[in-house]
Amino acid sequence: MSALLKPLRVALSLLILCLFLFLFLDSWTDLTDRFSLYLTDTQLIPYYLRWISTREVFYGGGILLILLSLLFGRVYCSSVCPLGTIQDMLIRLRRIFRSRRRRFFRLLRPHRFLRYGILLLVLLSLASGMTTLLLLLDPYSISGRFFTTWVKPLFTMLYNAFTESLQAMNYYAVKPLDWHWDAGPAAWFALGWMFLVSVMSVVGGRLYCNTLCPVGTLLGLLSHVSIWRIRIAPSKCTLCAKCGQVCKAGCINMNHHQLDFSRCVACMNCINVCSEGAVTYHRSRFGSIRIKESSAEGRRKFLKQGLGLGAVIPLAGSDSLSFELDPLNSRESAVRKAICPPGSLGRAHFTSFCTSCYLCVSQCPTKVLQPSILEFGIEGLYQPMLDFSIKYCSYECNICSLVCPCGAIIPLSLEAKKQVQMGKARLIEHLCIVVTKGTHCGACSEHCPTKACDMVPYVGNLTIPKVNTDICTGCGACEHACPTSPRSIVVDENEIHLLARLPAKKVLEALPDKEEDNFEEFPF
Amino acid sequence: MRRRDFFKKSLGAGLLTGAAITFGRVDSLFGAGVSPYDLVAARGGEPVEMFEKAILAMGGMQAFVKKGQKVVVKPNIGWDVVPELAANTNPALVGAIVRHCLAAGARDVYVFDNTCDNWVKCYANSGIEKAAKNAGAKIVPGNAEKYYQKVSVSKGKSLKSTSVHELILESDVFINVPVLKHHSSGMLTVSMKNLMGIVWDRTYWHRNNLHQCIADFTTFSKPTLNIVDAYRVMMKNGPRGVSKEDVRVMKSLIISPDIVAADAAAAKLFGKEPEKIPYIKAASEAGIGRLALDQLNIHRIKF
Repeated sequence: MSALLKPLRVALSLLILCLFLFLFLDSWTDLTDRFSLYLTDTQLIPYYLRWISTREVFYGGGILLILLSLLFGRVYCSSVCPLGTIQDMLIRLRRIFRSRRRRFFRLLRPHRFLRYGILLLVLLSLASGMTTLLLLLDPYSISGRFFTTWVKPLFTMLYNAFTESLQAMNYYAVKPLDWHWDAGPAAWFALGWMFLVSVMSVVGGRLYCNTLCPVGTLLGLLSHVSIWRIRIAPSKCTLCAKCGQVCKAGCINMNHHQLDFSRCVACMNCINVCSEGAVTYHRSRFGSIRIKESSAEGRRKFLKQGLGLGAVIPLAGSDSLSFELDPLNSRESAVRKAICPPGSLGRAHFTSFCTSCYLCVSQCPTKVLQPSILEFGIEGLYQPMLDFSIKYCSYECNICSLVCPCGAIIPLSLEAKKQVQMGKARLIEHLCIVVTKGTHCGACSEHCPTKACDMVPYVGNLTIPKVNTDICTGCGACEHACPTSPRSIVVDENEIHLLARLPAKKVLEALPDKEEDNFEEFPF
Repeated sequence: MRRRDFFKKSLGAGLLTGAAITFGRVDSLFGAGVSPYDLVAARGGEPVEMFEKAILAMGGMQAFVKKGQKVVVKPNIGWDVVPELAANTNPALVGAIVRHCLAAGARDVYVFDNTCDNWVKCYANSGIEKAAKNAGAKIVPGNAEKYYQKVSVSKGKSLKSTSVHELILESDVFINVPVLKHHSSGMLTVSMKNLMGIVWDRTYWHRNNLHQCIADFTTFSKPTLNIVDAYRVMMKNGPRGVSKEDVRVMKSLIISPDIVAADAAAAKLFGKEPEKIPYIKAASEAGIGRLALDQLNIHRIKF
């Protein structure tokens, strides 16, 4: 039974990592928009952010995770966390390349001050409505960013090379994928963090998970009171030290037959390696008094912060689907140009929930969603924004709102999404081709899905764009299509997203004469 | 790039030898099935039946497509909307054209457009991908610059050079299948405007006298045949359309090898004078085709 635990953990972790890879790479199926939340809700931070934002329990992935930790410790860290599995793979590589002596792990210091300090800071910053720290440290988001900015582009490149070679053979049934990749600051930032985690894992096993990771620390607090824990039975132990050597968390103190379960990532390596059966899951008698005290304090802290969090994060999340048209907003003079995705309700809500996992960026079919740099300010570091130089937001698409794991983008039906006004188009007349060159253009109006941007008579038989901001959604089609440089029609951000009116549907007037529905006649 | 060039060259060589064989076998490439009409128009039928009768009057597809030839069918697939909105060419019509080309002996029939909205969604949502594939065509991407090659438009006034999809340059027959609709900047989009979907750098056209560029480009690329879908016609809010209320069911179809004549007839159908559409006028003045419909030999089919 015990011998099965490790293979089970390995299989589960690989399965979940593969599912995540599929989620980020998938461009072919509609599985992602229908099932992605089942997968992302297994991640603690996204789950609770989404819960706060949408008040939706769903199937309770995050709650199950807490229960699981209360039963068996940090099962999340070795089985469910994609970053954990990536680290385990690197550690595996290290084992292959290192000599027998150097591949062993050593007992690590608990770094309590650092761990709990970071957790406290994360909770404090969350309570003040900032996700910046969380964005940096959440293991799922670190993985997601890496998948989107490096794995997906590389995969797409290879895939497209494959389709191109098929095309050269006159075979067109496999479509190439759209891709946009510039190794901008966000990509290097993602790679940088991944590199940091990788180095830490190669140097010290699950060092990241036991120092910087807030999820690890939080679950570690819970595992102080978990019911089943891994223990070393002194009576059976022969002090062979094998368990300590394979402990990625460096939490086994052999000399005292002790295993710090708050740092144990439940990888089951020690159980597997012990030939005496001394290392096993034991049912605990709720631990020693000493541990109970410290954990109670931690829990109290956590609860306090949690309550603060609930109270402080603006109630934007609740009843969020009722927008109101604010007439004052159109007179807004300070125009900022970082447009956040439809369903994100506005800049404040978006930046206080998004952890920059880039699942939306990955899934956006037009690639208009791109990582920002500092456009949202430090509180929205590297969070996705609409970049109209690449494409525009498709009128017939709401996938970003369906996949967002953190509730930064709230799920919208396609009909509701079509009415969200992210911004308003504004014509800069003196730059427009119609004015500067006196020739026809109308590229903006062509692309407008609601005809908020329409052509009206100008000089002679020329027509010029005119924007009806009531029905404009801020999708950026006009700005993208505009041929001038700089663009002569731009979308100004709505800091709070508004409700656009639906374009009027006017039945065509009847034909002037008897020709009505007379298909017999030819006008030539 | 090298590999691509190699394939292109070997393909070209293959075509030459193929052509040589064809010349040897067939009595005359141009003798058989030359159409007695300049333009065929149909009204009152369903898209496919109108096409079938009209192409028969034109001498059948075999008048335009020879055995073993490579054919490109270029519908308008510009927008991610359903067929009922009439922003894209009627999918059933595209399917019928593909079938006729293959029946006439075409080696391969390719269908593509450089779409405005996301190409994958346009191809799917327009219904054209499915219809064309079922008919036996190859659906080809037009979404990346690598497929386009720079060409010079020697007779152009505003447009001196542009990038054209390689399939257009490589194929023997080019069948242009626009949908007639209202257009905010072109005023009307038909066959000539549809050619903007075979080039890459459209914004240049918009910057440099759009109407003149549209006319200029026809000096470079003249489709073998223009088949104008006017079954459902978007009367306003074009070219994308907002709702079904913008659409009038006209049940019409126009076929002509003369791109100017096809557009002129379509303009009349729409209720506009072709002389008032700057690009039709400019192309007619450049001698691309004939605008004066009363001087053409027109065959009218009523259903």
